[in-house]
Amino acid sequence: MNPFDLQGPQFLLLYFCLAAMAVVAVIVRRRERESGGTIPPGALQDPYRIAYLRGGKKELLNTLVVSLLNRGLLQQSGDHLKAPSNWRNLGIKEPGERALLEFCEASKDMREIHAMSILSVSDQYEAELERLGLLPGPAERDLRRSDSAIALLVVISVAVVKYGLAVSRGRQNRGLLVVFGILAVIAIIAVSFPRLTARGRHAIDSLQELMSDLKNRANSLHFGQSGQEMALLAAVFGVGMVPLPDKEKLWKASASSGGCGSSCGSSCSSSSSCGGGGGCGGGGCGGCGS
Amino acid sequence: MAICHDRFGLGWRHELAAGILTNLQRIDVVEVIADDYFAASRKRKAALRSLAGEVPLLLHSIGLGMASTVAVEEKRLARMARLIEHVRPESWSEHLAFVRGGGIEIGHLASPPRNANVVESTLANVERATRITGVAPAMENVASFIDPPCSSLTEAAFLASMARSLPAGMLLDLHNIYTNSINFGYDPYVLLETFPLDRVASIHIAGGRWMGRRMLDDHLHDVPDPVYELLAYVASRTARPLTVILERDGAYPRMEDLLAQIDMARAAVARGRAKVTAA
Repeated sequence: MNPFDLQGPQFLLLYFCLAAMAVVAVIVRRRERESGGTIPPGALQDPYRIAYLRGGKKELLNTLVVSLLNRGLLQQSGDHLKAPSNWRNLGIKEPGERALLEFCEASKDMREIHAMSILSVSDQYEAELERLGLLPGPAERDLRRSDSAIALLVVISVAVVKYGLAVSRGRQNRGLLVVFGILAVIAIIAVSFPRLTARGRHAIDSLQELMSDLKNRANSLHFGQSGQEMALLAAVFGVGMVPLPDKEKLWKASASSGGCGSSCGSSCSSSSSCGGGGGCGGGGCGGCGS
Repeated sequence: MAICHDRFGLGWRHELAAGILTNLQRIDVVEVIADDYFAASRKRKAALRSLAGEVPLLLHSIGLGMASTVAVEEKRLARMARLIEHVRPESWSEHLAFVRGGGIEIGHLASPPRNANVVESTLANVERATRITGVAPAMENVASFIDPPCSSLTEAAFLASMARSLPAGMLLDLHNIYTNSINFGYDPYVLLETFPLDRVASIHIAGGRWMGRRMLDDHLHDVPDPVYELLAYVASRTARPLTVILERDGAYPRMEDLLAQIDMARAAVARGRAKVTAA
């Protein structure tokens, strides 16, 4: 029997199964390719690299802030941060730390910090993590695209053929097929391009497992006395876990970011210290113009 | 895997995880308690496997009770075999102790009677463990508060006999030797003189505390100086590369303090090696 001759509900069930198979095939092929071998030595040690792996530039900046605050190299005043005037004499070599301290020579809030440019540092982490197979490199991205293209071709072609037949046969109940087709396309795209490779995901999962005790006793850590543990806590679990005094004050501005609202008007976007509209929160532009 | 240089590491404990992972440039090897992972989820075991990719990892078992005239249950060895298969450690070890008898768990690493019968049955258990896990374990000497009854061998003779016969050699716990030397009034250097040090697979150092006139190996205190001296002595008497593990089970000091103790172990081995070179 020709499957395209199936009645509406039966065909939709078949189409659902086909789309599900396409999604599973994309996931399985990607995982098989990307999870080969073990996590490379050194991948789980540097808090900044871990932070970048887990959440890109934003988490890297959060972890840099936590680490520098913990070591007394950034000073908090309300919702603003400032580098000490003598930071250049302290022998800080880490490029990310230097970039942030330089940026914070004038007092800044988290929204401004999240909007700052650390392109050279980000690029370095990105390249390193791609080389370690924890983020997809160009070759892997090509393979992801071709897998996704094949899966999309299958589900779209089947939907188009059935839609054409329905039109030619004068059927009106075509809406659900369109909805199913769109959902299948969204699902395939969603599973095809995760930010991390399967190996990268495994690295983060492993770290969170290995550090589970650190998370459990996060509240007993003392800010300013816990060395690398504080930076690791932020890198592995996020800044929400860090027992930083006045944390809410500091991250309040960035938490509301995600697009310029009406209160974030021209005075913000024209300010050089705001670094572009992406970092401006709907809650106002507290740091701009300072 | 052939080890070609001295290595210094730390027992992996969850409380120390962050400190260990951020100081791997000063920690060459970690030792993980196997029993903590027998019933662990797949995710937890996978994390341990990832750790083994970061740093040479040794598994250390505490619950098999191999120094016994009773054969270790196959299910316990099979569990160990599964963990080894999953984690792929560099090696694994157990204690020259029994932990249960007549169906009762002692909850303690008890020193077995030191006699030929126990040597023979322990070797049989080690042989079974090797067959089931595919890897021979190194066996660790234990500390004791009492001289085990029904013993016909001295501790020195018992350990030397075991060391010579064990396929993977001994995990020599220097704090246990130090502790026993205090509790039973012998000279630890005399014991080490007769011990075949070329059969040492790795070394444990730790700290303990006084309980009246006796010493308790509780792993809650810093390594005492005499243990470093014993380490230097061992290093001076064998050319074999040594893997030295600092054990700490609680009352954790700052990571810097633990790293300082590892550095002191490094220095002790260097002192011992220097004596060999000078001779």
